[in-house]
Amino acid sequence: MHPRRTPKELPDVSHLFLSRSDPAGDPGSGPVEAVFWIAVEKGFLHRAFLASGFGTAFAANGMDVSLLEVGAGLPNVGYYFAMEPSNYLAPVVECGGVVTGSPSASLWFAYAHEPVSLLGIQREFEDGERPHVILLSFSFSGGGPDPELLGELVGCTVHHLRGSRGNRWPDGVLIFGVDDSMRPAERFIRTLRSGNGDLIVFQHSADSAGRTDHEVDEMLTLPEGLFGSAARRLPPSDPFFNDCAVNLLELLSYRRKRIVSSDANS
Amino acid sequence: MPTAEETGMIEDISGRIANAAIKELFVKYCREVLLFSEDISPELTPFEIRFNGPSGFRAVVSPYRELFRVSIGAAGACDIRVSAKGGLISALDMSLNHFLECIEREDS
Repeated sequence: MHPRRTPKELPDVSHLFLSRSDPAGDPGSGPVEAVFWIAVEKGFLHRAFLASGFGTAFAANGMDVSLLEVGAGLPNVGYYFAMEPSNYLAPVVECGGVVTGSPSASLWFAYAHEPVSLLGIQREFEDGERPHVILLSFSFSGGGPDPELLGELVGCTVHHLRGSRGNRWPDGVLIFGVDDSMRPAERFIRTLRSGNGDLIVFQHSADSAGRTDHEVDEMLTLPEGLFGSAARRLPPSDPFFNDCAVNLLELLSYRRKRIVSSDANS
Repeated sequence: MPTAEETGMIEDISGRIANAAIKELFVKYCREVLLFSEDISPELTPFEIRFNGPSGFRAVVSPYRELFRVSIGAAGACDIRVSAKGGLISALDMSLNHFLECIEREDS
């Protein structure tokens, strides 16, 4: 990530996000929501670690967060939210099932092996007036999720929206991979952009000069020692997560405003 | 996912366990440990299966007729006997914690 002169906090930009800028432009048209996907290439070990860090960063700054995680392999987010082992390991020991929890009034999480398992459950925190962020974390391999999985991920997103249902693609995607160049993600990004032309893409690279063949809004360089607390049963609190969240919301706000302006002008 | 060879290895040695329910727990444990990371490799000996991974991760699983034993850490610092789901939960939780501590060491 590029160094900042003055670090921003989420409240510094959330007013932009809060100023409803959905294409309808109607202040009463529905809840303010954003959907971000956290796509983690198989082989990159920290899906749950990243998900819990991002979930906590958004929730700590006045947003209601639905944090969804799908995929095989431990740990899951339940580990980082200090669930009892019998609870966070239930999907493994009982062959399926869903792990859910509410670490705070504004953060609710759910984990399952398959996205379809998250379709039948409801959030356990009260829907308030605060903006709602859905974070969906999952693993992918090869060129990205296959069409069937992609459809299930979109379905999962739609199910947990507060507002209008429909074909809801993510507003942004954060991609973390084991390959520096991440060329395998190209097809995935193209597919997402076919659903949302304004998709925000943040991509992790092992170095800031990471190469890609597709347009990326921000290359993410993980801070040294970020995973130095990987075994702690606590969500990570490195400023990296807050910075990413701020940058995502800032970009989203500008893009939504641009859409509203262009709609108004046409 | 574990490879066919790894799955075969686990199936082979699970034959030492007579109790079908315990055998199922044994297979679950081994498969889940292999899912921690592609860098974890199993090594089969006549009486146990050893999982070795990055930065000193080690878990040794010894099957018996009615239970299996999991030794976690380089010097077998922690020994868990598994004969029911509760034992599997402890074994998985402690193995995962040991694995993540190894990852921490690698990153720091």
